[in-house]
Amino acid sequence: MSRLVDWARRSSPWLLHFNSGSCNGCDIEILAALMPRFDLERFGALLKGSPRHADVLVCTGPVTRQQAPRLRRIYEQMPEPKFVMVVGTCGSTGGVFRGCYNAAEGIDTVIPVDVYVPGCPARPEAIALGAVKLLEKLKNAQKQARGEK
Amino acid sequence: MAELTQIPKTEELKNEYEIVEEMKNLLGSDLLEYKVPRVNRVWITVPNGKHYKAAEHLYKKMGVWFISTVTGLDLKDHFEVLFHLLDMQRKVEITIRVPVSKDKPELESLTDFYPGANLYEREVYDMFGIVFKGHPNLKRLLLAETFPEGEHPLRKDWTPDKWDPKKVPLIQRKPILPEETSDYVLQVGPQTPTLKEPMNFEVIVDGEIVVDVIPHIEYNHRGLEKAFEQRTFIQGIYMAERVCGICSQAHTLPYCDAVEQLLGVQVPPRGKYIRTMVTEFNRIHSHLLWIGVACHLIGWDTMFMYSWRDREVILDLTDLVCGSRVTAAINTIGGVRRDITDEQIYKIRKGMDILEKRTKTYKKIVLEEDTLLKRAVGVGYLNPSYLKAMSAVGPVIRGSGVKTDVRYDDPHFGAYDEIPFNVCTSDMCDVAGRLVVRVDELIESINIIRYILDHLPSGEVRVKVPRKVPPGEAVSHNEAPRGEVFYYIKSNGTDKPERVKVITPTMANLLPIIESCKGHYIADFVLNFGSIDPCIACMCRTTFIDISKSKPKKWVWTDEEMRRYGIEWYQNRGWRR
Repeated sequence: MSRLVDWARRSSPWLLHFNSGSCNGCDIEILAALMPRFDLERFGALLKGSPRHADVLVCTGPVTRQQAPRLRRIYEQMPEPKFVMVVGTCGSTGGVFRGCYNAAEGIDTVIPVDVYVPGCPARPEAIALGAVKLLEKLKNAQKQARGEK
Repeated sequence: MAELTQIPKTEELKNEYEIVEEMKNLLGSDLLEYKVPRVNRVWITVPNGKHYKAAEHLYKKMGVWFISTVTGLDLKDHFEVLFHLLDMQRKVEITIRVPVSKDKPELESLTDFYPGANLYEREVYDMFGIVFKGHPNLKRLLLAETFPEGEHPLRKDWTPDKWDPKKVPLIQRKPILPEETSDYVLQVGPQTPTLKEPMNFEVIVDGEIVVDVIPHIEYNHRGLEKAFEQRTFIQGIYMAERVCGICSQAHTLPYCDAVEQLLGVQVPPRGKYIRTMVTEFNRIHSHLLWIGVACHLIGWDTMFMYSWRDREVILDLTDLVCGSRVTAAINTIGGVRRDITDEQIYKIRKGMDILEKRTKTYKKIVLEEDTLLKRAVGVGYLNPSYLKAMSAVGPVIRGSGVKTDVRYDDPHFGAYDEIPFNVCTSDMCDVAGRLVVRVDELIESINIIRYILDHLPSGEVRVKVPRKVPPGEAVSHNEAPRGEVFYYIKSNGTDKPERVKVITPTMANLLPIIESCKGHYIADFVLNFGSIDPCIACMCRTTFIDISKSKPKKWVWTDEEMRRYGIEWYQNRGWRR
């Protein structure tokens, strides 16, 4: 039974997209990755509107002062097991916004992160690769939890 | 009166000197100084208190109805406030400079004539602590609610406070309505499901009718204007590009143009043409993006997918010419970084043929397809005279039949003074009008690109420029896909700017669109707000609070449910596809 649940979880990662103060470049590329040409939905990914339905939080931006508590709250609202994927250089390290008085230095200063996708903005191919890497990670974690190699 | 004229009075500068003469007659010795550094630019300095009189004259007697923005400046011993007005008839950008003392930072607000200055003055108040007397709603605009009161980050003597992203508290806003009322407050934002940027609206509704909307736009403030001051002019290009990822090229063009004005260099014609071409690429990709999103908002996802598929054509061309899909990064100070080859020209022509064919289909759909028209016609009506009073920009004001376009009104920033093109307008004044304008502009952009390819001059694409920029100040603007993007740059003789001011079109269009939502159904709110093509917005989590009962009742809608509610609301009234 747990294998079935794990399989279902792997095959249908539901995404929640959150912009914590990015320039929109990565956000349109995330959307482009879901569009006909790159079609991330063939991996079962689906963009959801509520954190309560989501498995993967797809984050962009360096986290502004106003958004930091909101990001934390949204992360807390997501059900376990949950994963965080950061898209873009500024979400990974602060990037071009490093040193700005109202921006933190990346998503991982606020919540734990599983996958980083660099690029300014990240290309849809890179985002698709990041999603596949995340699914591999999930698979390994599931195997470990079941005591398999 | 100091005369700071750099170029002599000629027939070409007739309009500029007409304004100077008018101001001389009006103010006499109160006109402290004036300068006409180039065509289309007039700078006047007046003492604090006289700017009201000058603006009144410009507005009432000379028909200057458009305010670009208000800039604040910290000059160590005193402040300066600059009001940038654009005279569309004479095609002159007028800047009124007002020195303000640091001991008593107060001056009169210009919102009496220019209600559109509302948000701009609030921004200056927020960043510098300069008080505008007579402003209707002088509150903070951009800084976070946890930001310490009484601190103003763009003052030169300000030192940033340390804050821990993990420990920022979430502050509950005070309820905005009294307890005994039948209205609801509807929270829209700031968490985003698809494209839209973070923003929060408190929408007050009576039943299904929107009564008032209070925007909160501080969610995306990163402090870029301060960051510009800490980086060199070359690094500034890449900062400007990341003000907005969608209209990135539209930001670097006026930035580079303003720095070139300070340096006094001319971009070689070929460089100018390539710049202009990439700007039009940018416009096409942004408008196609918007058409898709607008169709998504009314529940027509097929069209959404089609327009985003076609958008890939233009992204591939941007990739081919610039090396990146979204942020073009082709402009540099003094020209462009890459030349284009004949093979690329061939591919661009082919891409334009595909896009032209598709755009004609869109035009047919916009004009004939009931699915779209039933949702768009009559929604979000905006009166042209109201839009003019609020200084709205871009497709929003053109969708109400007002013929303004920075490419036409002040064409000296790209190669637009040499390229023939039409300014597209529509008399429908509603969401459908804005749709028609954007589709027409797609066709215009394709024609501009073809003209550029046919008339591409040969020669160099850039000139070498020194790293240090001589002291001075310049303004430049560009017609971004959403409207006017405005840059003011002041240099102090080093390789870093003293001050960079950026203003983006969503700020100008925010208040008008909120006005148009009032009295309409909640079901139309999303599309109506979407129709300005917001660069900061979000509609995801909607909390309804019913405060008419003794115990407030709350329920939460996601964006998806909100969108579905809108679609079903129309279906239940018999407007089926």
